[in-house]
Amino acid sequence: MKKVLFGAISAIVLAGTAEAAKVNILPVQGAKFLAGAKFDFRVELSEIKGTPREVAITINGRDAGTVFGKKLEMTAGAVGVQNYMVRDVMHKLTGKLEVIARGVDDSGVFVRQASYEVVRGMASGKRPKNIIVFVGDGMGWNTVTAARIIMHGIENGKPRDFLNMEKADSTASVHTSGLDGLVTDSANSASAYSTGHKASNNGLGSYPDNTTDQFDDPKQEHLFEMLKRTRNYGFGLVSSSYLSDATPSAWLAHTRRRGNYSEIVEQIIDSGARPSVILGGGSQDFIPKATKGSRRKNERDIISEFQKADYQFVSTAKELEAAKPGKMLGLFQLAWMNSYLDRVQFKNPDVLGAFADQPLLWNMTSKAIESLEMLHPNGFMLVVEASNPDVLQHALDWQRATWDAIEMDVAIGKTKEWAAKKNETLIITTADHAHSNTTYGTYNTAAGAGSASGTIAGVGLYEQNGFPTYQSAKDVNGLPLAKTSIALAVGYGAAPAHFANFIVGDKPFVAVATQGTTLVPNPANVGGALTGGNIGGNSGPHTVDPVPLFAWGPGSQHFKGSIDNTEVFFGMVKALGLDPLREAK
Amino acid sequence: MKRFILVFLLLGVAFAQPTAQPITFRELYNTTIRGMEFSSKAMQLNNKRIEMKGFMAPPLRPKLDFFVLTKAPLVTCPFCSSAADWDADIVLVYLPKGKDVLASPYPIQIRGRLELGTKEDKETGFVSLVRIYADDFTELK
Repeated sequence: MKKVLFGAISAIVLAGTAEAAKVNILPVQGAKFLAGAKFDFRVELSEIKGTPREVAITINGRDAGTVFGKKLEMTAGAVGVQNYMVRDVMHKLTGKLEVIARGVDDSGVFVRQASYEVVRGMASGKRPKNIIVFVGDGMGWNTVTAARIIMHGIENGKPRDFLNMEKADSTASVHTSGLDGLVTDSANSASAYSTGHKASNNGLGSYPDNTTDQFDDPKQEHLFEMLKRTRNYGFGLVSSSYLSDATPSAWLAHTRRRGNYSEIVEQIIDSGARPSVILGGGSQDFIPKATKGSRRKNERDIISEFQKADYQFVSTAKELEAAKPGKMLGLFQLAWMNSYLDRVQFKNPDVLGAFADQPLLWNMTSKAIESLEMLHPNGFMLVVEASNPDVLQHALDWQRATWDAIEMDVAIGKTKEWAAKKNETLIITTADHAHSNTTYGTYNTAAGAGSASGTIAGVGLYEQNGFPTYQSAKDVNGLPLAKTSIALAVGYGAAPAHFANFIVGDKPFVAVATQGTTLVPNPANVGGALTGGNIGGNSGPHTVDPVPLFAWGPGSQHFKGSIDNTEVFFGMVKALGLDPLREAK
Repeated sequence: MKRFILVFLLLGVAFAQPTAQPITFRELYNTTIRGMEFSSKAMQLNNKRIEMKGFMAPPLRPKLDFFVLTKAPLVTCPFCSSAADWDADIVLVYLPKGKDVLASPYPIQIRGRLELGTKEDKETGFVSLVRIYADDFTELK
């Protein structure tokens, strides 16, 4: 009988879609839900011919409003558009659900079907109390490999050691495509981790609807929000980016456009799941509009608002070190925090400007953990992002990008040492997407440089040039110096035309310059080898290559094999045994 | 006679041009985590002839009499990415009448009158904090 019914629906789809109204169902076909997780449900009719009649929206044959216990509201949009929406609903039934939206207009029957899957977060084995997620933005397997070679070196073909992140209990390979594109951006991919739903590029915690309003799109509940209302967890956000940027804010924000920095910071401070510890860059989004350097759209003084809410405010590494654990806002740069190499090895005042005393990512992480452990003995979730592996790969500055991945690995090592004492914290390290950087050999800095032919002559393929010499000199923190005699030769699969010279300078690399509206290889780098030119624009793009996920600690068994990025959310939920349906307060 | 006076006046203007005082992007503002303020050096040079080095950003529209000067070549084009934004310390440069926007990938040295304070360009609505009314510029190849 069921088969016959579906056959009939398929026939109607074929017959009806040619001319009758078009139907869009959000969440989309194929969406997977955690039972008891909140979301907004929306059905959009467009290109309606005449007046729609007999509109019925059902879930497994029952009226959707009845199933949700909340009536769908109808709003008319532009001519020929009608929308049906209900906010803050949840699925209570598990298994497969079939949503059908149908009706009749002057051209005939219109119908659309979406299949959903609803699961519960059943834990097996020991449950972690805390979760710490490290996101190396843009950190593919390629960047992890370069970081390992630089940090530990190779002896007779074997790595002398592996990175802290790589010494994992379980490993997975994560696929990152988005709702609207093969290659994802950071908003979309971080949303998948936080909500279990795909978003469109530039979207945070929402599906794109048919209105121009960037804040009314159907939302999905974030894991932070679920953990707050079910278990009263505490939260921390640490990022070397500006805190309104996509990766840190995707754990709380809901908007169609990640560029709404001013509103995103308001969503963070106004959230019911407001993090107790927030450390990173981007004070430009916290200071009132009238102040020079502000990027805010209004006069809200977000720093003062945090202080009024009993948050300590710190703005230098020294202040962070001196701060007693507790509720804390730390902003260390007006915009992005500078790269590790600029902060520690080069210290060029022209680069650091007024922000010469920015903290190390591991000191931010340790202070956040210390604070969260004290404030939230019942459990916490902390997200730590190293932003520059992405920001600086865009700039084709692979050395700065890679050292920031190494800096994050030191933070992971220290976090594992802390966690090992109690065995109650799940530590996940992953990325949101990859870049096209690849290590294809070594570079003899003495032989190369100065001219294009010299640069090419300096590159050693296979066994030529021997192994890199990064181990020969270390900085104050024990990280290898970037300037070395035999360096890595790293190039990009997709890059605008630029001169590559493999030698790191004391100012961030600028690959492309503008000549009026034309983009040209930056003439300041003449002497490098002319390379790239297989894409337009002025920066390297993200790629679709899968990214690594390393899990360590209780619950890590839920992350293995080749998985979609939305499954990272469900892995965390399974590890925690989170069941918002039963635990809801 | 009339022509003679005009030439004389022009020469007079050229000769009377005061020496340009150099100022850098870093020296424009005192920056803290709570925002930026004009430095005392910038305040002293307000409405005076200055010299400043920077890079020319892509023009906002073709055929404009001004362009944006940035301290480094723009890594992210403000028109290509929704996540991009202008740096807070950009300078708007108005070119001398009759001179076209020069297009250079090299650093350029601008000389002209410095003007501080928030101002909106009438034609484009572009809001700037610092402007240079240039009388001269050099491409630093």
